[in-house]
Amino acid sequence: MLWHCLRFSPTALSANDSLSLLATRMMRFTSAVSLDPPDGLLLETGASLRYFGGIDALEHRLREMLADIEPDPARNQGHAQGQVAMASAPTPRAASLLAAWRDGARCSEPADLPASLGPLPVRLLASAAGQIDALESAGLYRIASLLALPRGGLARRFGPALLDELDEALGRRPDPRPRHTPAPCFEQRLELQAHINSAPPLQRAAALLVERLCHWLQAGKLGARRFELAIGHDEFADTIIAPGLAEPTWQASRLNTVLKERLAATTLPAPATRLCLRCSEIDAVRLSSGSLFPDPLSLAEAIAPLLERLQARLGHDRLHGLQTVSDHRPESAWQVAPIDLARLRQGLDQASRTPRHRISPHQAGLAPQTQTQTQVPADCVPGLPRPLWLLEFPQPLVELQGRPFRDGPLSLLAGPERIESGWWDEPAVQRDYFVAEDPAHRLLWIYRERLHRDAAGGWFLHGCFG
Amino acid sequence: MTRQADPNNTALPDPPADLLSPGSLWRASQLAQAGVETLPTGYRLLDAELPGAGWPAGMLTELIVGSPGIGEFRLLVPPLRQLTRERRIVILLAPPMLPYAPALAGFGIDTDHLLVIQAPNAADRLWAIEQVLRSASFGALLAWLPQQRCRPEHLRRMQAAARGAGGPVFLLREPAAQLQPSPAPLRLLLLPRPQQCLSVRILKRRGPVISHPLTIELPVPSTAIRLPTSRATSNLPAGSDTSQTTPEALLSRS
Repeated sequence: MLWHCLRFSPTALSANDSLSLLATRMMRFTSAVSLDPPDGLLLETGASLRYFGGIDALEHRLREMLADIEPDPARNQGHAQGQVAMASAPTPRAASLLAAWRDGARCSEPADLPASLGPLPVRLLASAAGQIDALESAGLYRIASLLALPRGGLARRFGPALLDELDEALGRRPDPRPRHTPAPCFEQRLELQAHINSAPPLQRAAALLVERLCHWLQAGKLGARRFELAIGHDEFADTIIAPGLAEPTWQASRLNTVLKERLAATTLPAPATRLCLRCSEIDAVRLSSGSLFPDPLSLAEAIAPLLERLQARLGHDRLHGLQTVSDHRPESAWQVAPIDLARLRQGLDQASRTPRHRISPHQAGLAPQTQTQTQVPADCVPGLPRPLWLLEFPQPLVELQGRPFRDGPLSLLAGPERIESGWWDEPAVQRDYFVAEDPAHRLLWIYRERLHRDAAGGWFLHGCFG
Repeated sequence: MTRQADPNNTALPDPPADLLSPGSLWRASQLAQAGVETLPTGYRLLDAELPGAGWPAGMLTELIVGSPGIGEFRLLVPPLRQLTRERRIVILLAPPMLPYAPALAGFGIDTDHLLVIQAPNAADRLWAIEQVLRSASFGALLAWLPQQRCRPEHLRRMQAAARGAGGPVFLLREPAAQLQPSPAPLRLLLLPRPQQCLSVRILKRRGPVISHPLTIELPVPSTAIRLPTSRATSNLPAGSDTSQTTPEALLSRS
């Protein structure tokens, strides 16, 4: 067991980077993170030393990651040195004491603990807080002198808490620490230093919040499906941007791309003074391992970011699929279907595994048999063929000399097909459908209205083949 | 193998054998046997005239339509059917009207793998086309280009972006685009013909110029009733009465 303790100077712990947030960030190194209030974090790193390549490499990475803790410029001149003190020891209490004493102190073996803790001043012990004068008047300035005294006398004179703390530090007494769990929901605020009017600085500020969101998501192995950025103004109500993602993700680059597109399309009523990022919908993330060469499976991964980008710029309702509905009325026989990403991706995965039918040039003479009208699907419509394009609202057609007229007289090719349905519903339909051809050789789907209450006997254009 | 030059023999000697191999001699009459993947068009006549015998993948194919609704979508039904059967995604970008799902199902196109993107704004539409081409995760893209705002540099960018695509890219344009230069390697002009045929004139291809247009019969969705054409009037199924109730007769009666 090896514990690392990180102590943060008060300037590093501004209101934004609270201890629990920092603990969530540290969960990238180990899942056993505990808080050591008021300003410390304890990480149990003994189990992952080999993965990180040794204690030196681990400490280097920790310092690298902590180097970007932004001190609050209002309180400090902004130098990064001295923000974090790091120490390691076999017990958490000893690590905490060593970190409070000196940055970079290390103790690797439990047997070396008394020797390492010896030079530490007694005032570092929490249980000695009210008794410093008594201890100093007894000539006990260092922990080594405390350890040399008999245990019973020490307990009677200065209280059992002091003895317990020393025992915990030396590993003679168990010291379980509760693990930190990330908060169940994410909400972070950021006060902007200057009032921001334009999109690029707003994106940069929002990117900080997005990074914290991604740390929180990674700690919990979750992905965000929808998040919300509230831009605060002084006299106006907050402007809220709530982009959605095609699938749960924890990658900061995708969240930033989507946010960038939405911010570019937003106009602010007033300069922005503060930001608040909330994550409302989270879900488990579908993990997949990367590949060295671009193979078709990686192409299947590319569809989700594409859909997100398109939805972010064009709008969520501009991308959809189509679905048939079992109804006789033509305008109700279909509906817009939301995109089912899981199904598309599954299809792409399967498509990548089956070899594609490829035709070589010298076989051009033997064209494949996928000619027209060969394969009849089992559920073909038992009536007139249906047009490939349907007008949203049927267009009325002029009737001249007893025939419908559109850029010329239309000649009816097939029909009529009477569709009567929907008497229980609002758009009741009673129509005779025909397939007609216009002088420009376009095939049209027209109908004659039979209901007497509106435009009885009138011709309407409903669809177009082709 | 060489022959002795015989002064009495006036016939031309045969060229050496290695000169006849496909790669070494370019003939003006040959079509490009390009190293691109092609998707069979479904029409034998068209396959014979396209380089690679099909719609090329990874490059732009321009379809210039004489007037909308003459059958350009029906022309593309066989490759769409094959792609959706293979579960690859087909993207329709800014179609003029919404495609009718029961008709697509009637043609055998699986609507689960069809994606419709609406982009009324011209700038958004061009941007969306580029994004889709860059992602290269689709089976085919059918894009209706905006009439006014599309300039040759947009098309050049699209052609560059389409290189990584795994499927054909169809750009449907208005008739005025015939006169504009375009970097697309394949350009077709579609004009209507009676009796559900389409005249396809190949304006540009990687191969010799073809002067006459091809006439392609368009597919009709399979139903129980067949549309009367000059050949098929005798084959109407028994279920429908053909005796007095032609559509024209019905019209005059009612």
